Amino acid sequence: MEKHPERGSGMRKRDSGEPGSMQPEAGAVYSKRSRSGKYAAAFKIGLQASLEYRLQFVIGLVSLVFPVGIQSLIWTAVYRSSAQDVLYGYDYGQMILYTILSGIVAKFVMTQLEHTIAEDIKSGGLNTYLVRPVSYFGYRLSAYAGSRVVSDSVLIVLVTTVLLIAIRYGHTPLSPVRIGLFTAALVLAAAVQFLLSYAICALAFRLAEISYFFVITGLVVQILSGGMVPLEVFGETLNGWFNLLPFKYTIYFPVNVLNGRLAEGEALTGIFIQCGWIVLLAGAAHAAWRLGLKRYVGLGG
Amino acid sequence: MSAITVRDLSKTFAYYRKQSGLRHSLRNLFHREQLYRHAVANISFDIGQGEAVGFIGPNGAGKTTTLKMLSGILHPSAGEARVLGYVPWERRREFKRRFAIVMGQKSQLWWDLPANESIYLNKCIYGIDEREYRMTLDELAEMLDVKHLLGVQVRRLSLGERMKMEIIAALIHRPKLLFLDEPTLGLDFAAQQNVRQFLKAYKEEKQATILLTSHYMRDIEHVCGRALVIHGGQIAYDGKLSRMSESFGRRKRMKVRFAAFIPPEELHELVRLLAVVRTHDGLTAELEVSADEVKPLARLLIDHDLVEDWTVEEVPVEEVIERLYKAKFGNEGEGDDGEAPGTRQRHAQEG
Amino acid sequence: MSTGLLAKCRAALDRGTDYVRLYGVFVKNCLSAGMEYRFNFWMGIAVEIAFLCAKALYILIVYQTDLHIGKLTPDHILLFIGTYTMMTGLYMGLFYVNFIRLQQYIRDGTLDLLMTKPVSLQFLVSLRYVDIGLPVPNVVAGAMMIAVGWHRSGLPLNGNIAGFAALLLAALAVTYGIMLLPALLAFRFVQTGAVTEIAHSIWDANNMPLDIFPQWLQRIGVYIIPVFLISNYAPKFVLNELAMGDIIWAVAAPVLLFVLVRWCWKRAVRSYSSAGS
Repeated sequence: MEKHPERGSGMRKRDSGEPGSMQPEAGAVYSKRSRSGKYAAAFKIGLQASLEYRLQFVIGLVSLVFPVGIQSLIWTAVYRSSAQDVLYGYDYGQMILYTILSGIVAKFVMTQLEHTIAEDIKSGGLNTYLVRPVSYFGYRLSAYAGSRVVSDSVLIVLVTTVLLIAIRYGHTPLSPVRIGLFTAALVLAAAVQFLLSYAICALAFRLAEISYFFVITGLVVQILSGGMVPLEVFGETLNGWFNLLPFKYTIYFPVNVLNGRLAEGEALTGIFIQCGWIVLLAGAAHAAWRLGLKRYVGLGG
Repeated sequence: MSAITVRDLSKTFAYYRKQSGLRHSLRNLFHREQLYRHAVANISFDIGQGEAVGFIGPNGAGKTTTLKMLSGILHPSAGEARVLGYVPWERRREFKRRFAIVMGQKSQLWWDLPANESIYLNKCIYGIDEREYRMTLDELAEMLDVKHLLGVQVRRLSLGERMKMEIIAALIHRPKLLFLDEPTLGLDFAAQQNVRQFLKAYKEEKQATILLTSHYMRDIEHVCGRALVIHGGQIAYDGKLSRMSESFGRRKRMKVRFAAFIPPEELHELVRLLAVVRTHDGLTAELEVSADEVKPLARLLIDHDLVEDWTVEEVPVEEVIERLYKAKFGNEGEGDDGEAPGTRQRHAQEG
Repeated sequence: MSTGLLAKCRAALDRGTDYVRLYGVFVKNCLSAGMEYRFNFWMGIAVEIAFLCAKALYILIVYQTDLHIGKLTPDHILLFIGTYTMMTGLYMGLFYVNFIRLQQYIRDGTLDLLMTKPVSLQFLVSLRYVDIGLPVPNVVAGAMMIAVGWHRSGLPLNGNIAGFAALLLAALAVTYGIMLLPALLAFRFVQTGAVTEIAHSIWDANNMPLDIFPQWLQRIGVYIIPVFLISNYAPKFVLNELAMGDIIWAVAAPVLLFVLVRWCWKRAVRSYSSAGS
């Protein structure tokens, strides 16, 4: 479904880039304009495709109710049976808030891009990008950004609603600074996750049957990023290790910025670490793709 | 006794118009425009036990739909049919045990296993006893010359070999009635010929009834004695295949390139008695001529020293069908496509 | 009269054994085909192990917080989680691999060929494939959890086991019915991925004993959409928490569900063959 419009836009670009009689300078100017143009086009395509799949998104949201609801009920039972009020450093309200918010934030940052990209690599669809004056990464990023516009707006409305309800039930109101920090943390978390997926996808150059692998990495990432339960559950030793990994900066961190468990200073430090990870992961993804592409071209696609 | 009786069978498909664009897809959420297509419209025919019938028609004519109704996959919108005494779409078990359907593009073999495993599975599904199964398998594999390939994984077989396995799997319960939908599609020439010969032999040995659709006239000519031509969901011709090819197979197309410009009137005047001019643009022309008159025509053209080059071809099947259809349902007055008037009358009678 | 009945019973029995034999051939086929793709086989196992790790998190929480639900101790809860894990494995290996194929059968016309076979179409479609690797980790880990939970809660090893096993079988039948129903939507819609997703997240409600749910949800999950029968009734039986009525329901529910599935299946196939494509 997504393929069709992509191909169309690709054709258009190549056609417009071809006129040979053009002056070099004019050509350069032209290509510059068309560069921003083509990524805008990719963005639009992503947006359109997401509209095409809107029903699926809605159902995805509805199905989010179940795991979040079940987990909340489990935590309710846990807190009811326990003699302590605070478990793993969370009181009951915080834990429920964490469960709900982590479900929503997970939806926000998880890309689901792996299969699309792996498909491009396997089916040779990548070739169409390699022979054109378009960066695959740029293309995917723009299309991805476009595809998130609608769903992310809905998710943000959802987060706001949840927070408003939480505040009504006694959660401390959020300062504007914290909202700003959360927004930054969330956007950066999405970037970390995108780069992470993109880097993992480079494995499709090597592994023949990759879909299983994505299920595993998806699950592991979800557990390690605090998408299932707060990372405190794993104990201090493991958390020491988690600090060295990028995963916690995708779900656990933004959620804890929002629910106020992290002080503003800590949040700021976390944001810097996120930036660091983005640089590192971008480098890693770039290297992995360079290696993979070398192999890909070497095999003749 | 007839194996298949069909009376006024019709199948109408309902479908939705789908327009592209966001606006339309939004509108489709609330209201969809329903359209109908008459895939098969009031067809009737009988096929006797042991008869082999070629089912001919262009794509989308309703061949596959008819086969699906006769094998019980589809329920007709109207009409009746009896196949081996059963109403096919009741899907009785006893009925299913007595026929087989082979669809050229759909496989029932398991890709990763040797063909004999899939065939054995069919043995169990059809409840064939061990001895009979062995015998049939040997015999069929022998006839198709694939005995040595039974233990090879299906995905390692060539397309032709795979088709042969497909046929063995379908015939392992020795059905007396066969529906074959494009069994030779995409096969190379040798494999096509093999399959063709096999079907003929099977029919003669087992007195089996065969209903065969194919894009290749050769398949049908080889296996079948009778043709059922379907076009636009209606039967355009039902009769002996030999008479059908007599009228059309025996007409040829002659494409001629002239050495010099020749005015249309002059050409018409020249060939009037032997051929019909289908197209002519001064330097090239396409003539239709009956097979017996190819030689005289050629001689005539050479004698007048007009020709630089020529080719002689068959009339394409699609065109034959189109004409048969027009002959039966079309308006009689139009003779604009250069059709020989005599043939048309003959066909109108045939149906 | 009675001889007629006898003959009928005999025929039914024969057909039953035919189907069992046929199922044996399915299993054999799947085993040999599975061996073809050893990489996929091991990857399937790896995936299931990853899912097991996620489940282990809950066990961790249960023991860390010394979770008591009503009269249930952490060891009892382990019994429930073990049952759920085992049922998940069986569902994945026996049913899931078939149910996801239905859509493809319809799209590529394989269903047409299957319809001309002289055995039950539902049988062919819903049980044709068996994945051998996929369920292994879950079934093994589930059995271990059950054994540990059983032993640690000091439950006797007597006739209980037979009852437990029988209820697991009933649960398997419930699983078949409950998970096949959403798959039948494939006859109607091109995309059923989202529905499957919802069905699976409801399935995950069995992760914990049903006692954590509010009363009204328990009722729905037991009597209307009997998901809770899948992993709650067998452990509850050994814990002596099932009344006679519950046991009768545990036996009746799969039968009723099967009748419902059969009815829906027939309707779906009928509409398929009268709509066509």
